[in-house]
Parts: sequence; C-alpha cells; structure tokens
Amino acid sequence: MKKKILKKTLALFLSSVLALGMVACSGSNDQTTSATDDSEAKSTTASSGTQGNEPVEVVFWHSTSGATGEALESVIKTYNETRGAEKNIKVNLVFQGYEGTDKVILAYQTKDTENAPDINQGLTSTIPSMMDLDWTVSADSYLNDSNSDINKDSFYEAMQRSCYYEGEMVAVPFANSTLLLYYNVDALKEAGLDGPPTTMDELIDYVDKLTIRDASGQATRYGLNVQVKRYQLVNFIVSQSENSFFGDNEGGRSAPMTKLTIGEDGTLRNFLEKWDTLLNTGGYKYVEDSINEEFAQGLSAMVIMSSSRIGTINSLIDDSFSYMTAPIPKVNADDTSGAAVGGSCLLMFDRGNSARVDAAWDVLQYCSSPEAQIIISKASGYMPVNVEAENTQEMQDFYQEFPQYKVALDSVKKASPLAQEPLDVVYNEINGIITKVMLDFCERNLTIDGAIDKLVSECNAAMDEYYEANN
Amino acid sequence: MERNQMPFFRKLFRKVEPYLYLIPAFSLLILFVYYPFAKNTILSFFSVDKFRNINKFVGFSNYVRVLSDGNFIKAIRNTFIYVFTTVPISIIIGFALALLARKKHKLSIVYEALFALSMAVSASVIAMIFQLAYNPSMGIINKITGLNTSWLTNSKTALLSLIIIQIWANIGFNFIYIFSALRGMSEEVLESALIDGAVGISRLFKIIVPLISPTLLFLLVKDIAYAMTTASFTLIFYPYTDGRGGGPNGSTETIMSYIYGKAIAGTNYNAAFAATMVGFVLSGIMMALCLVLDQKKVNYD
Amino acid sequence: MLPLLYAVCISFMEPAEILTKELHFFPNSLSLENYRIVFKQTAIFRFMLNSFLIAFVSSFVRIITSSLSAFSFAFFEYKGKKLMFYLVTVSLIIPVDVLMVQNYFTVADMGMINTYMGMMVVFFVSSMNIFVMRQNFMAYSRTLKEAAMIDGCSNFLFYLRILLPSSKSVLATVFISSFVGTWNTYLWPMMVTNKNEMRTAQVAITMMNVNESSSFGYGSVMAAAVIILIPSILVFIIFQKKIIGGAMAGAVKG
Repeated sequence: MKKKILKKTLALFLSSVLALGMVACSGSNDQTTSATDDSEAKSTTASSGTQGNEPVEVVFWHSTSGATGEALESVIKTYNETRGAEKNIKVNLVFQGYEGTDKVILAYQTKDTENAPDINQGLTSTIPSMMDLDWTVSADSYLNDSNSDINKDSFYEAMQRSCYYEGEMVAVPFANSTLLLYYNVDALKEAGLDGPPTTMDELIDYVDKLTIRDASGQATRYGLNVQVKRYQLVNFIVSQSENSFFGDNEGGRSAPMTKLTIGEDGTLRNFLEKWDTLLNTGGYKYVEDSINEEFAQGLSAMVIMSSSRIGTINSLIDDSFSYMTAPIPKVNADDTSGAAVGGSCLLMFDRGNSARVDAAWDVLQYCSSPEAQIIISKASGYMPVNVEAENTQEMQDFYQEFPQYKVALDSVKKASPLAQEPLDVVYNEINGIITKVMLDFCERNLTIDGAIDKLVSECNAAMDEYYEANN
Repeated sequence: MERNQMPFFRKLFRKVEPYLYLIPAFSLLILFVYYPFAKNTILSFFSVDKFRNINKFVGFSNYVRVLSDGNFIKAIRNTFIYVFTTVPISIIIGFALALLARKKHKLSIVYEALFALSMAVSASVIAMIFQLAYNPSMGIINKITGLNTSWLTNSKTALLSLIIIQIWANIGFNFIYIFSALRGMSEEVLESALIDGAVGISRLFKIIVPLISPTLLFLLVKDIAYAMTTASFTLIFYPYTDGRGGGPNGSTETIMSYIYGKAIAGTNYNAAFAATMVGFVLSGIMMALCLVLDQKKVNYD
Repeated sequence: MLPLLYAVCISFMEPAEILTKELHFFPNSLSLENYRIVFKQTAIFRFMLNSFLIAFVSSFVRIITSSLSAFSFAFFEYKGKKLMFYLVTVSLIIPVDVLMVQNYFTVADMGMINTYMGMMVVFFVSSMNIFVMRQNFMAYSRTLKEAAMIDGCSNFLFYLRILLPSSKSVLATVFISSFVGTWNTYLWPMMVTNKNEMRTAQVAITMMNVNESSSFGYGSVMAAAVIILIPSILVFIIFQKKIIGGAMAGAVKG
C-alpha cells in the first residue's frame, strides 16, 4: 500500500516536471536557430547569406489577411523557393493583427531582439516612432546603392514622399491605398444622377437625393456612410491645397511635428462647414458598423473608404448591382491637391546581425518588384507601388476588367506629392481624439467652433505631454 | 561526532521547514504581485519617457494630470456603473433561477448542465458571438426587435450592450454556486422556520439569504473584483489601434482599458502608472466594503 | 445557451444568407464553407492546444503552490506566520490585472515572451486558492498529524500521503476553477505573444475580426467560435458532477 502511493506520487511529480520542462522549452524553438545564425554569420557582410548551411532567417511581420494576406503568402512562398533558395535566405511571415508596430516598440523596450522582426509592415504614420528606436535601419543608403534592383524612382513620387522623414527615404512603400468614393451606379441612375459628385456641395446634393426614408422619416437607405477618423480627416485637409499640412514642419516630415495647423489655416473650418450641411440632410450615416456589407446590401448608396477594400467589395457584391469608384469630393471647388497616399510601408531592423539586414533588403527588393506588386495589387486593391507595373499587359488587362482599381492609381498620380499623411508621434492618441470629436460633432454635441477648439487643443496637449516626457 | 551533528541538522530543518513550504507561493507572489506593485507605486511619482527611463521626480503631478483628464474620470464612472449593474443583477437573476430550479427537481439536472455550459465559454468567444448579434443590419437582435439601433457604435447604447453581455456571462457561474448552496441548506432549519410562521418572502430574506450568505459574499467579492479591473470586452470591441479605443465617445472605457491605452498604444507610462494606482485605491475601497459586509452580515454557522 | 445556438446556426450559413435583413433562424442548407476557411487559413488546433496547455499546467502548479502554503499555515506554528498570512490576505485586495503592464516587462526581461512559461507563470499562484485550502485544512484535527508523526512519518510525507488524498474534493475545486479562469483569460496571453503559433484560441479568434479587408466573413468567425467551444463543452459535460460537487464544497465552506 505504502509503496503504491509513493510510486504514484513520484510518477505524478516526475511527469509534471517533464511536462513543465517540455512545455517551457518548446516555446522557444525558433530562438535556438537564430542563435546559431548569429554566431556563424557575424563575420560575413556580403548579401549572399551565411557560409554555413543554415539559411538566414528573415522575420517579416505583416498585418494583411484575407485575399491580401494570401497574395502576400504566395509572393513570399515564391521568393523562398526561388530567389531566397539561391541566396540561402528564408522568410518567416507572421501575422500581427491590426498593427504590429506597437509590439515592435514593446520588444524594443526590453531590448528583446529575439522576439522582434527583421521587417515590419507598418502605417507610414508610425515612421517617427520607429526611427526613434536605434535598431531601425534607414532604407535610404540601400536605395541609393547602384547594385540594388530598386531605387527611389522605381516608386511613384507620392509614395516616395510618404516614406520620407527628415530628408531621407527611410522606408519602402508596400501596400499603398488612397481614399476613394465608392458609389452604387444603379442607385445613382435611379435618382437621375449621372456620374459621381466631384465637390462637397455636389455630394450634399446627391446624399439628399439618394436617401430613402420610411414612413417615420428614418433612413432605410443612407446616401453616404463614412466615419471620420484620422485617416479620413487628414485626406480632407491635405487635399485642399499644397500648403495645407496637418501640422507644422510640413506635417512632421522635415522635423518632428509639435502642433496642428489645421485650426489656424482654416482648412478644418472649411471641412466642418461642409460636413455640417451634410449632417443636416439626415441621409448621412456617421458611424461604421459593417460598412462593406452594408454597401453590398444596398443599405448605403455611397461610401468613402480606402481603395484597399475594392477586393472585398467585389467578393461581397456578387453581381447584384454595379458600382464604381471615384476620387474623393473636393472640399472647396477650387481645391488643388488631391487625396493623400495612405497605407503601409516596410521598415527594416538590425537585430545585431548584418547578414540578416542584407537579407531583409533582398526581400524588400523582391516585394517591390513589378511582379510581386502585381500579384498583391490584383488580389487586394492596393496600388502597385512600382511604376513599371501598370505598363505591363497583365495590369492593363486587369484595369480593363476592373476599372475601379485604376481610379485609385490615377488619383494618386494626379495628386500633389505634398499631400501626405502627417507624421505625428502620438498617432494612436490623435486618432482617438479625432474620432471622438468628430462623433461628438456628428451627434450635434459640438458647434463648429467648439469642435475646432477641442480637436486642436487636445491634440496639441497630447503632443506636449509626449515631448515633456520624451526630449 | 556524527551522531551529534544529525540532531542539529534535524532541528534546523524542523525550524526552517514551514518556511520552505511557503517558498513556491511566496516567490511568485513577490515577483508578480508585490514587486510590480512597489515598482508601479514608486515610478508613478516620477516622469518616465517612452522607454521607461526615468527623467525626474515630479511628485503628484502625474496624478493631477490623470485625475483632470476627462477621459479618465469617465473611465472611473463607467467602471462603477459597470460594477453596480452587472454584479447585483447577475447575482439576483442567478438567485431567482436557482430558487426556481430548486422547486422543479426533475428539470434541475438540465438546468445545471446548461449553466455549467456557459462557464465553458470564454470572454472572447462570447464577444465575437454578441458582436454579430448586435450588428444593426445582420445581427439577430435587431432582426427580432425590429429596431435599427447601432448597439455597439452608438455612444448611448454601447455601455449598455457590454453590460448585457457581462450579465449573461456571469449568470451561469452564480447560478451553480447559489444552487449548490441552496441544496446544502438543511431541511430541518427550513421546517422549523415554517413552524414559526415564516412564509414566502419573509422566509426568503430572514432564513434563506442568511443561510447562504457565505456563498453570496463569495460571489459578490469575486464579481466585484472582476468588474473593477476588467477591460476585456472594451479592448476586444474597440481596439486602441483603430482610433476606437474606449468605445464611442469613451462610453465604454474602463479603468483598465484606459491604462492599457495609455501604456501600450500611447507609450505614455506616466499616465498609465498613476491611473493604475488610482485603480488600486478604488478597488481596495470596494474590497474593504465587502469585508465590512462580511463582518456584519455574513454568518458562518 | 441561446447565444451558443445562434453561433452554431450562423456558422453553417453562407455569406449571402447572413447578409440579409430578414430573420433567419436556421440555415437553409448546411454549408461547411465557413469551417473550411477556418481550417485552411488558421492553425486553430494549435491555438486550442496552447489554451489547453496553459490552463492545465497552470492549474496543476496552482494546486501545488496553494496546498503547500496552506499546509504550512494550517499545521505549523512559527515566527512570522501571522505576517506571512497577512501578506497573502493583502494580495487578495491587489487586483493582479492592473499590474499587467509591469509584469509584462518583468517577463520580457526574463526572456519569456512567446513562451508557454511566460504565458503561465503569472497564474501559478492564487491567494484566493491559498485561502480556501487553508480553511479546508484547518478543519482537520491537529492530533491527526501528531499521531502520524509518532508513527515515524515526516511532515512532508504526512502532507503527501494523508492530507492530500483526503482533500480530493477541495483539490478538484481549486483545479477546476483555476482551469476555467486560465482557459478564459484574454489580456495576458495577448500581451505576451506576438508569434502566431503561440497564440491561444481566445486571442486568435479576436484577431479574425480585426482587419476589415479580410475575407473572414462573420460566418467563419462563428465557425471558429463553435470549434473552440466543442472541447470545452465536452469537458464540462464529462466533469459536470465534479464541478457541481466542487461548487458545493466551496460554497458551503465559504
């Protein structure tokens, strides 16, 4: 009896220790391979990978999923099997959800190079906070290298500029989109409207005519659905003129941004005045629940969204009606600038192994190539960042079949390269502030002056607080 | 010689033994409770940059700043609303259901199974299900009620929507515990009370409630502690990286989600640490109130 | 109960059915497309395994830490015992969730990001469980232990061979409530992992909804929810008696 119990407990104890041990160690499998790479590869600086048999691993964090994600996976798979195999490089793709940038910063906090990426896909607005980490590598010198497949002029000018910070092109454009107006062609025809609205005034008029109400006056089909957050507001501001930046120091590109200029230069007022009239029509839905699905169901006649959603809309609509995209309406009839290039860029990090950085650059060159960009662009709606892509027969045919995509590209080419998203260091906070103030405004809790005042002062306060703690 | 050494070691071992048994638990407690608590307290009086390097001593100015932030005050208000609605309502409903189930002995097994089931469902799965249910055009709630409300994106209904989810999530657990406690009540006590003339509602309050008061207190403490420090639903429905942090107009911001937003999304540790301390104090007060309740109203015989 | 049924129904519907304004309780046809998408595009079994592992191992370790400490508190007298117990009580008031930011950095400094250990280690002790166990142990008569000692049994053996086996119901309660707690937990595993393979099911399912330009329609999200629910429901049905029994033991003793 005694022996039995003793045996039992011993067995239990041993098995739990084993389980713990196995479990604790198995999570860190990837780390051991990178460690061996480190020691082997420290001596080499050539871009042809390590001298040993271990391929150089490049960890690539991204936030694409769905059709776009699949496209990226196939591009990387091809790379690993062809060029990567030749150069002894292997890319490890990791999906990070909405934004991996916060996690990169978190990893940096503890100098945790093991759990950081070599390449991160991040919104261009995160560039300043990324450049603050001393392990971020600027792409500028790589782009100027004559041996590189790509250089600055491989990209459209607006996209180049979106990756500029303090005079250097630090990142490589990757998945770029722009804000577009999507409209239900059939619905517009029914209302007797021909072609999309080009100015805000026309937009307001359209919304009025397109809204369908039921007996109680409640809108059953909205004329327009879009929630104004940072991304949308920025576009409506910078599109007004070449001098309308969101904040000082050219929106934070020539030097860190310290305050907003949209209150002072009147651009915010112009926008809010138009928006106020829009709200009065009662046919504008100012919150987004499931904007894609609602547009596809015909619950909203027009929406303003990123061009990256074209692929999703195509799969949702399924032939029930035809739709088309158009550039966003101008705030004032004489606006010159056009919409900003939005989307994400790729940044490289140095985790202490220069062979990895060179490998990462190789991957970036591949991702920016016309071929790779075509694959990604066709699946998603992101524009091909490489200027050569649109001239290929494949893309020409594609644009014939899906003219909606071409609108985005044309819009970017026509727009001024100076129309860019701002590089504000507290982008999450500013996004939150703008979203809240605009919601308040749409719910009629704020006047135009009140909204301007609140938005500018809160954003400035957030930036001040940041600089106070981080100088 | 050796014989003398043995008893010495054994004596030493005897003395040290009880402490040895405490080591596993305490080393963890110190590492993950007391050390971070101390660190947080100390750092909250300094200004730190976004890499948590210390700039300088600033006394209470972090606290002043956080307490004058309208968003934080709103977060505190929301948290208390959350606590004072979800906790009593879910306990009362659980109690009522347990009483009902007690009467119908045959079906009680079914009830038990059903409610045990809801314990198996985790917060994020519930969140995803309700997110679809609340969708104004596709979700079942609007389809059934015929309303057109944007439950989760309208600042007036957002918090209410979360409260409903939380109550649903709590009921199962509360039901099981109360039901077991009800079953554990001795029939003799109930019968003697009946003889004394206690019937119906007065029986309920004068006999049943005191009898199961330990269980009720346990549930109260657990639910309040959870509600004071939760942010799960807020962070799932309103991620900070999309500008939606804190819900429409901050109406679903809780103390914890505010801390998360400041620390992780904003790398603003000054605000985060100060807010954490305020959160501590408020939770502590709530717990202390529960302990007072324990002393005064709960009987353990 | 009802929301679960709802999820099951939706998971079998095609996107077109979900996208309508009409009321649709039961799917017109049982489409497995959503499930196919989930299996193809996510590593859902790995996620569930992760969740299960952390829940199981954490609960197991928790039994050890809380019973050992309770043993110490209930059966020994020594200097500072009151103080130590006080520390345990005080930690009940400190809500651990709020300390997550600090704990993240502690864990990161120890290099445990993206490891199972990192995800579990904060769950290895629970003051509440120490409390419950101590309560339970104190009900045992001291003479029992003294009798065992006279028989030549050491303290530790008493713990192992007499105390633990006779406290099975309390141990079961602690294990089950810990398991439920850690299985459900969301915030900590989310913070501590950024590698896809290490994510738990609870974190992974919320990420399915995150990107609006994704092809994860609502149907697939519901399918994932159902998949995650199946094992937990099975476990609960099998161990239902223990759960109810455990609730009784815990409830009566307070």
